Amino acid sequence: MSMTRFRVRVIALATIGVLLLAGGTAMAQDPPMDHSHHAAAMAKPSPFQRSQHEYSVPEVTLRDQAGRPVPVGELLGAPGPLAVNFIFTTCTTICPVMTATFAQMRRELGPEADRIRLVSITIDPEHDTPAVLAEYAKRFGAASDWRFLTGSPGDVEDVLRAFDAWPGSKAGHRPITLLRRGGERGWVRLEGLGSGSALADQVRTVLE
Amino acid sequence: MNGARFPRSDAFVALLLLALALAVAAEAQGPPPDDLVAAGRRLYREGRLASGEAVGALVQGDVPVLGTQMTCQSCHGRSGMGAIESGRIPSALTGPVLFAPDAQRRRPAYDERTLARALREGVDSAKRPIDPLMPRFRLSDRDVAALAAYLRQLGSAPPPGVGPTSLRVATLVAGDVAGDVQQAMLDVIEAFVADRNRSGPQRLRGGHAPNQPKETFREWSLDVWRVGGPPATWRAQLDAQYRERPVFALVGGVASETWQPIHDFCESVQMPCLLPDADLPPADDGSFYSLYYSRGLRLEAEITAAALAAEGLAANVTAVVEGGQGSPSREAAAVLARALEQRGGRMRTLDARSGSGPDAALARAMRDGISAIVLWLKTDGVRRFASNLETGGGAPPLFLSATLLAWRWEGLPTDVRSRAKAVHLSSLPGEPDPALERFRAWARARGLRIREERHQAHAYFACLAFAEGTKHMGRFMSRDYLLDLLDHASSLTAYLPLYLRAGMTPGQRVLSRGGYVIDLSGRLKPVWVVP
Repeated sequence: MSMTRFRVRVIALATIGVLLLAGGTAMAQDPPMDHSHHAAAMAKPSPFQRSQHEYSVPEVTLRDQAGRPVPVGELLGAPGPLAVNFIFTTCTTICPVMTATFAQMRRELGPEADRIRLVSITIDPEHDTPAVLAEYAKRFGAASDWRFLTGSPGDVEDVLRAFDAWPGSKAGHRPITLLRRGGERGWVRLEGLGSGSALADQVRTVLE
Repeated sequence: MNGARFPRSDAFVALLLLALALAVAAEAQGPPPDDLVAAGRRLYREGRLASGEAVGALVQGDVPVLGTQMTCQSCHGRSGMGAIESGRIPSALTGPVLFAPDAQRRRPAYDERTLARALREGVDSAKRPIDPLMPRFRLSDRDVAALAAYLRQLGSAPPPGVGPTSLRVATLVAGDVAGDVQQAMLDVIEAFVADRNRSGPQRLRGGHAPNQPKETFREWSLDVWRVGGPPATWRAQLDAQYRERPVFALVGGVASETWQPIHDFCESVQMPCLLPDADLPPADDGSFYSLYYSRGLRLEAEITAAALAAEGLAANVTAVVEGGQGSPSREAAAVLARALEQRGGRMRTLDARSGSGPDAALARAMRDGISAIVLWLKTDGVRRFASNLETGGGAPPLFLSATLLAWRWEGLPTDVRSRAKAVHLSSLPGEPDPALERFRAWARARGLRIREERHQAHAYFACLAFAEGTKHMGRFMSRDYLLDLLDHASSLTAYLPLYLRAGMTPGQRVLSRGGYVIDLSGRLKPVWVVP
């Protein structure tokens, strides 16, 4: 009855997991503490699936972690390079990693770090109020210019759909990072998780 | 005896003594196993070392994280059985799983050495790399020993109420609950249990635990617990019933007063308490074992405060309450008073049944200028009180409690309805609610009469959630695992009646976080508010 779909999904996920594990055996592992040279990193195959897209951003107003209104079109359309990801604060597995990777990417960029603006949009606005996002940002030591956005469920859904990042439900959440070069319409879409240096390599392509 | 004759023996004794002394010293130095387990628990759940410092780690190769940002528990669950999220499957690491060979994952049993390697270097017991999503932790040998001690005992003892072929649960009637409501709720739970027991053995699928038998079936038995008298005495009554016949979980249940003593009982014996029909769940949400539909009247009070503030009516509110100390009406009024204060408002409380009569007090309050009246009363109370209220154009607006009115306002005086608003925590009459339709069809098919629909729908979904959780547990019956599974059962909400905007989210213990402000005159459209 009811739960057949749930069960099917569990099986499907289990299968994906097995495939991931199988793939994992072939994966070359960096020694944990070794910050490999960026040139070498560039030569390695990127862990991300990269594609180019044009998105039209809806004219809605969200709120940031300080509760300030944020016209999304203005924020995301402003000149200057930009990196956007989609998270929710109660996500246990990939969101903490995505958030920490954003922070590490900035560190990897070194002197260029300030040129990229970071935006994280919640996919769970009903739970992630500005206060909850502020606490989350603090937990990850996010710099004050890193905006965490929430809003009415309808507005947030509009934004997520515009970026083809609407997961349907929280459980369907996937790691997506969007990059935009200043003043251009096109976006680079990265799917998957990678190291901070691998993400920094991707970000450099929109800083050039 | 002389020393020259037995030099070896003396040396042997000396060595033995030395070894003994070292052993004693080691014993004195190292914490006893209980402390070791406690240190391991802290590391597992909070990501903190014995020093209190957060453990450091690298994830995805080069990304530094703190153990407090990614605890073991956050991915592997409090039960250690692993949860599924975003397509990633953290493995099960309870004692019986981790320290035994795993045919499915084709790896030998872990020992402390291979566990240390997995935690520090991300290499499993078969020397294969582990997903880079698993942090590589900076742990001392002692930290690893603590974690190993904790994991070894995790999931090793069978939980109460569980036999090889049986599973005992209870539901609860607490306080002075109307007979019709009790019976309507029990009818649903009994029908669900009978139905489920008839369905017979089910093949287990989707389990990611090794050596799982293909089939398992535990027949459910249902106890009905009853507690009465003052709520302060409920806890002792619950303890007694639990001692006499332990159950695995409390499923559903209904109370006429605060749910706090029941909540405290469940948290203290670490027993799941799933989705009771509680008008007044406790205030704190740092608990693990109790799951609620919403925060009930507390949420109503906060939404009422938000609505009053939004309409500029928070300045001088009068609330009329009924019932004794700790009654739902009084408790909700206290929450409302605090929420109004936070918004710069003010509230006074009148007792609907005070000795001198509320009329005089209300008249005095009226002279001071009331911005709004909150009648936190049941239908009878509102009817009785309505005669005290001014009528006409200048009369202050009214706010009522849909929960206390049992979601019916047809019987209220027209004059009250024409200027009253209420907070409604569930789907509105006439709003499409497919899960409620599904419940009705389920009840019809079993010849159950729907008489107290809300209570019955609550009881139904509590059973459904429990059934779904236990089904996925398979052989590994654990109370923590049940809650972990429900944390990730977000697709279940499609079957949740009454709460259209609810969600099941890791770590969250209430499903629905908002409510509608409705205009009882029907002139204004309902507005959804999340306070």
